[in-house]
Formats: sequence, C-alpha cells, structure tokens
Amino acid sequence: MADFECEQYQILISRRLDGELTADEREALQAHLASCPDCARLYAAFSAVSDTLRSDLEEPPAALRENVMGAVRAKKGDIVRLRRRRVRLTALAACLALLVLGSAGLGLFSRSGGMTAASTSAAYGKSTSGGDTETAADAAGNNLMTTGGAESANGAEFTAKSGPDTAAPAVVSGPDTATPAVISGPDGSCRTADADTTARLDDLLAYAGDAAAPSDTAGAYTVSLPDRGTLTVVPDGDKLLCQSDSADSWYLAAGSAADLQSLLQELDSVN
Amino acid sequence: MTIEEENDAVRRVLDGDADAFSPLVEAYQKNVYNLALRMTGNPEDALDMAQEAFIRAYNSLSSFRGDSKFSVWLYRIVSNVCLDFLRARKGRAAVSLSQTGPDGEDTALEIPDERALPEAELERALTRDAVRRGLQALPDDQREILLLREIQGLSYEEIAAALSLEGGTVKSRIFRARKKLCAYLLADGNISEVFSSTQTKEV
Repeated sequence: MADFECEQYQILISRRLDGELTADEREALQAHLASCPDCARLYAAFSAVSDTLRSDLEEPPAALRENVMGAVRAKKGDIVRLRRRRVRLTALAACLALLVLGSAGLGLFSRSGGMTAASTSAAYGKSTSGGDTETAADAAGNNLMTTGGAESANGAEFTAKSGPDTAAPAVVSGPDTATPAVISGPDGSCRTADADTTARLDDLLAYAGDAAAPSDTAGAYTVSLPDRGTLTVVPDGDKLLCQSDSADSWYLAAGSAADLQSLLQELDSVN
Repeated sequence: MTIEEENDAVRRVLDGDADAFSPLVEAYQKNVYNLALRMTGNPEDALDMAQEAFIRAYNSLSSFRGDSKFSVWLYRIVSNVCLDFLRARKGRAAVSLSQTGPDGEDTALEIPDERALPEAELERALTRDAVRRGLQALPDDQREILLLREIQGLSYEEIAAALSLEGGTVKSRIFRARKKLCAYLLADGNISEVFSSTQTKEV
C-alpha cells in the first residue's frame, strides 16, 4: 500500500518540477516528503537531473543560421533543398562495418588497387579503394535532401569513409550505388562511371549556388546520376553550370570544369 | 519575439520575403539546435537535423495556422525530423558503429579532457556527461517528451498538442522518462555520489 502511495507521490514530484501541480497537491506532496526519505531522495534526484538538463544548453554553430538562410534566400518561393552532409565514420568503424557486412553475406569486394571499374552486378554493398576522403561515395543521389516532403531523407543512405593514410577501405553500400552514372560528352562520346566515380560526380555536381543560364550550351555534357535524374552540365570558364531535367533554373556546381575534365580523363585511362 | 511579431514574420515569408524568416531562425535556433543535439547525441547530426527542421518549416510554413504557438509547431517538426533520422539510423545500426551501440550507449571514444577542471566543475561535468549518456539510453519517445519539457519548456498542454497525445499520457511518459533516467544514473558509478549527497530541497 505504501509503495502504491509512494508511486502516486512520485508522479506528483515529476509534475511539481514541471509546475503542473495544484496548490492542494503541492501541500500534500510537501507533507509526504517530510515523512518519506525515499521519496525525498527521489525528489532530489529528479530535480538534479532536471537542473542539469535545463542548464545544459549549447550555442548553435553559426553555420546553422547561415546555411538555413543561404538556402532560403537562394531559392525564394521554391522548395528548398539542402545538401546532406554525409555520415562520416572513422577508419576503425569502416573496418568493422566491412566485417559486419561481410559476415552478413553481402557482396563485398576486397580492397585492391585494381578495383576501379567496379562491377555493377553487386546489388548491395561495395567497397571502393580508399585513399582520398573525397572519393568515398554516398548512396548516390541521397545526398540531395528533399525537405518539406513526407519522406525521410535518410532512408537508404550510408557512407563510410577512410582517411588517406589508413589501410581501411571506404565502404559504400546502399541500393543506389549499383547504378552507374552515364556521361555523354559534346563530341558524342559516352562514358559509364563506376560506383566510385559516380559518387565523385555526385559530389562534383552538387549545388553550390544559383547561376544564370549559360550563353552557350554547345559544350554541354549530359550526365545521368542515380536518383538525381539527368543533368545538363556546361563548362563555363573554370566553372560548371548545371541544370536538372526537373528544374528550369541553373545552378553552380561545387566542382570546377577542371575537376570534371580530370575525372573524365581518369575514366578514359581505365577503360 | 512576441506572438504578433512571429505571425507577422510568417505572413511576410508567405508573401515572398525570404529574409523575414531570419528573425524566426534567430529566435529559435538555440532551442532547436539543443533539442536536436540531445535527440541525436552528437553535434554533426544535430546541425543537420536543425537545418532540416528549419528548411522543412520554411517549406511548409503555409500549413502553420497560427492556432498554436509557432514554437510548438516548430518543435513538432524538429521532433519528427529527429525521430525519422533516429529510425533510419537504427535501420543501419549494424554499420553505424560510431554512434550508438546495441545497448544504446554512445560507443564513440570521446574522452573529454577534464584534468583542468576544478573539483566542483568536474563534478558538474561528470553529472552533465552522465545525464547526456542517460538521455541517449532512453527510448526515443521518452527522450523526446522529456526534452520538450526540459529544454523547450513546453507545458503539458502544449506537449499534448505538439505530439498529439492525451494529457494523462504526457504526465506519465515524462514521469517514466525521469525514473528511467535516474535508474540509469544510479547504475552509472559517477553520479550516485552526487545523488546521495544531495540534500532534500524545500518544495
């Protein structure tokens, strides 16, 4: 009986801390606490935790407001998209992730220098040779976060990265990495990118600001990226201007024209 | 911001003045960020989630009817964004090793340097860290509701509105969250001393 009573008072303690007691309840609680050391201790514990939680506030990074307002101002009236930061794992975690994936019987490539043109037949789970933090892939396309919709932007995304000087390979898994990017050049050439390059392309062609439409689209590349549809990519000086097939407006890509060239050259030297 | 200022800012944004969103971000970024921080347990994800919440709020601002407080409406979005994220993170828990282990404890090897802290501050820091760990060990719904109360300072009525819950559920869920958090802290060596030495306060 006493326990049941105490349980009721404990709920009162919780409500007391939240300022949700009537005067009568408050009085009754006060009387009980004076006679019940257990509940008095619980009250002390609850309020210590409460004080800690209420005082443990951190200043938000300046990037929060800058990024939000940057995205909002750049896309007045349109649905705003934010580029999703990729999940970064330590090299150790990447190693462990490999073990986990491996033991789960998912298709995995072992790390090897020769693994550049990754087969697209592995429907799930790949490792690409690490070495450059920029080469590890997102589940391509998922790094463009759609907001405002009902869907979760985080669903299929997972990326593990390893640093340049670790032996651990980067692990890339997710349903979309198996879909390669296809790049058609202005000269009629057509290249297919491996998973690694697809991910780099995805990074390279990420949104970095609004841009006016290019005056001349003769040198345009057409790039189809998994989940992002087809992009028209026009080198403009050292910049890259992009237009998605689902939008009229043009944007400035994160990477430069030179970045694109060197990526294409790499693809050519492999194939 | 007063309610009038908030509603005015909302109206201006809806009329196409994107800059009018800035004071809303300014007013709520600290609470939004801290809610996200304690929900996700790490600053990187918290920044992502806080950004997404604001962007989502901006994109769906036309659905804000003004019949609840803007803050309550916004925190509901933050909560949803964080819960979506946590569900997705659990889905890939097998590979997301740097964040949460199978027992819900943070497995990242972050060892804060507490040598330089004076004793009282050290104790506070230990308590704070233990409470943070304890929070991460709570079920998502309990963590969410406790944070809405403790960080956002919402009343039971506002929480009930934000989470579409009955008042009785709010009351009992907050209580269960506190009890569980305390049980965690007592099991956690660092804090038992703090608790047992705490004098009973005047109610």
